Amino acid sequence: MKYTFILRRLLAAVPVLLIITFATFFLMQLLPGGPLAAYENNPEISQKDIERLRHEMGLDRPIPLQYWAWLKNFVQGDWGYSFTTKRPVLTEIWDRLPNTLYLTGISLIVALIIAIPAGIISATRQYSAFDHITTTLAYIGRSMPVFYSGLLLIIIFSIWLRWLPSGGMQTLGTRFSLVDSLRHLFLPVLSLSTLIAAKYVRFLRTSMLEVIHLDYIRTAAAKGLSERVIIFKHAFRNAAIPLVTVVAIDLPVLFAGALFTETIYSWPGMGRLFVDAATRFDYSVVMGIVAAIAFLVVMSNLLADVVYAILDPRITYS
Amino acid sequence: MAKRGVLFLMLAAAVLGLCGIANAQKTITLGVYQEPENLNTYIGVQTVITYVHKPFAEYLIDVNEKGEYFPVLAAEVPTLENGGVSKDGLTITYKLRKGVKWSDGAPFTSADVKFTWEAVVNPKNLVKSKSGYDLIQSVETPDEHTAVVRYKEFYAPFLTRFAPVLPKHVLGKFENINDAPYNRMPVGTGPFMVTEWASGNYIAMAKNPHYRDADKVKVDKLFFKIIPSREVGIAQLQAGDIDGVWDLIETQIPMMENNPALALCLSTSLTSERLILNHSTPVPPNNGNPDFPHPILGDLKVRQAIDCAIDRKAIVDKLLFGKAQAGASEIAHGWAANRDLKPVAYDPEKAKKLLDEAGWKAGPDGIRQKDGKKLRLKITTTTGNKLREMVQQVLVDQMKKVGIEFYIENVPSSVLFGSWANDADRKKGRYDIMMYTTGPGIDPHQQFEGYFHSKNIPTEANGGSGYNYTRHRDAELDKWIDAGGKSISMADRANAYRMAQKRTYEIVPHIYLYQRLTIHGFRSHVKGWIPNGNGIIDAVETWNVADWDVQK
Repeated sequence: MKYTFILRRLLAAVPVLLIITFATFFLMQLLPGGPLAAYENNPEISQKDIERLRHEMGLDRPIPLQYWAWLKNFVQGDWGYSFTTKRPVLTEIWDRLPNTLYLTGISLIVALIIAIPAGIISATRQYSAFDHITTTLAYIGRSMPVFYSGLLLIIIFSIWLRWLPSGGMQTLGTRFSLVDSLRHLFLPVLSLSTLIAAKYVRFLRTSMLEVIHLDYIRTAAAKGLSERVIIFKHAFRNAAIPLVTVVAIDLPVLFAGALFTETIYSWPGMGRLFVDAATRFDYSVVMGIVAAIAFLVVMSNLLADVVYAILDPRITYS
Repeated sequence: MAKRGVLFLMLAAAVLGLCGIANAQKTITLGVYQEPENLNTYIGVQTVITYVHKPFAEYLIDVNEKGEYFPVLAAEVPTLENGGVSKDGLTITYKLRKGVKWSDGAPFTSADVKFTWEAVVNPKNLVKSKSGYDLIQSVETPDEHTAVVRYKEFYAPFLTRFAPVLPKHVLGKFENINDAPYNRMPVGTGPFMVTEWASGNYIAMAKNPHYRDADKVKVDKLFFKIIPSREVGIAQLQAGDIDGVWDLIETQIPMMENNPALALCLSTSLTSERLILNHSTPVPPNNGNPDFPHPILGDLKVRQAIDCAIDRKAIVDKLLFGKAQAGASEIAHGWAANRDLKPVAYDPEKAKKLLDEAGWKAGPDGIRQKDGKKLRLKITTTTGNKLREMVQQVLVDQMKKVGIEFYIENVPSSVLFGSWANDADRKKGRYDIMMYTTGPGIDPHQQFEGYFHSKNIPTEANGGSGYNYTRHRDAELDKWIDAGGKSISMADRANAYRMAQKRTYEIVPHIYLYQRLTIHGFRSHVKGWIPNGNGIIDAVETWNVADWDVQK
């Protein structure tokens, strides 16, 4: 039963991916400019040279043909070459992916370590001072954009106090050291994990509040179980089910990178690769990343559904 | 005694250790807000590439801060006088510097010069421009230190070719050089060599042990750190994380100026912010056809009136912090500049008089009219550039004072600078006035011919090539531009461009507002840089990086 469900979902993903890549490809072509736009305003480069390059790069072919050529190669595992760097798209992505996973992975872990206890305490001590502080902080954390809070942190910790570096992954010209790496990691992780934790705290708090007013919790309390057992064994485990799915759906972000955080802290990750590629009309790199992220989104949604069914026996798919 | 010996040894070790710290390697980290697409200037198009490639790549001839050519890989600059240039100008003989080695230890020879030409004209290579190289008939190499370049026809900017020279022993074995390892891990003859490129992160260089003056190079390591934006670069410079930041803009000067830990490297570039005035009608179906003159700007008196109604000093003082130089003509400095031409004086009374003479009489709302038509012009520039938008506002005000109405309608740069095939307004002549920056290289010929010669009006017939967007046709101007491209003696060429500038000054196709500054920020402990607004490809401040030092 379950396998046919997974199979059906995977098959349904094929048209979704086709539509996403097709739409991306055509929307990019609608934009004024193109990979050769940078050549247009350069008196050194003649119109003849531009026409020659357009032909050599295959940009003079009809757009549906260009898409078809891309799709055919992509399905066979050939992601093509970057229009600007002339390097394989996969090389471009592999160069950035570890940096992004390092940042987003640690941020997610830190966020969960903060969010789970904070969410539980906040719900069980509803309207206490802790609850008020937590919800206020979560509210601020959720609504303050990184491009603002990040600059604020850089001004305080890097320019005024000079405690932490303002960006990059390591001190250039020195050998790799863990301390140095963690110092560079601190501010970006702080920014990013605040954002993620704030979302999870609010989510978990609401979910806990729903659960602890249910009858079976009252029954457990009436049976004389200790508060710890009630909260962790009976309340949290049920309240955590929706959180697990939210985290699962967030997983593609781990790969896509955090655009603003990477930009503010000069982090050489996927988010910046994508923006650079988009602004340079580097079609093949944009297409590669969009296709990969779209695939991961589809997969993580499927994963969320499957995990939900495993955690919650009441849910069955047919 | 033995104990004392041990103590002494320990002390000595400690002292040596301290000396070791004092002699720590000198490192300079420069922030760049673009990541080079590659480091091969023949293929890559971004401006950052020249900045990053200067420490390792060398040209036959380069340009110093005074705008004079000086030999780098050549032993002398070829001229008619020293016999380097033949009487007909078709044969250029380069005597090459001896004892030069590539950073991998291989000798630099005339074969590398020949290979550079072959690589550029090779149809398999995705080279961005073949200009000049496609006019070369052959490159002969009578010996290792002589390269004789024979042109099919005279190519006036010949000194700007072979910039840089490519290593044959590294690249010669590839069928094409488009994705050769050289493009990311180049081999050069300059003071530094690329040692690592961490994508999106940094490009590392170390002192080139085979450099001819290696012992004079004071800096050991050079990093180009890729940062997301100029603003982030300034923040990192202030925090001391980087030692320099590349290519700032005029409005960022005040953020840097009053900090004693920072230094600004300002040079007046050859490019200028200007108004480009359409001489042909912007209205379809005859848009861009010079036989149908612009109803307002087709009249020289109106163009002159706009020119002297602009208070350039106010723009420079208020918006550019007094740092920029007011614009006068196409070539601001260098060997071809006409220094007799001064920025047009601000004279609103003269502007009014010119407009009266042209038949534009004051209307009831203060805007001049002629035959019931208002003196109303659209001014277009790129969106998202705060400085340009402020300049536009000032221009609108200044024009209003003499009875001209400017109205602003801006478009993204990709639209403004689009191609003929994309039906861009600039190429098709559907505009009144455009405002943007352009300028010549150290050899002004391409720019002058492209922007000012009547044969370069974009039309259907020439596939929209050429940059004569104003669509002016002037026989005298054409004559001087042709003379600049055909004269073999540098003195004759310089004279021709001076006359051409004088002519543009008279007929006002472009109105020059101010010379753009090239602005770099440094921490004050970085010494030895010299502002250089000239360049074979672009003005780049890393041109003398061999002389840089760190003094804390």
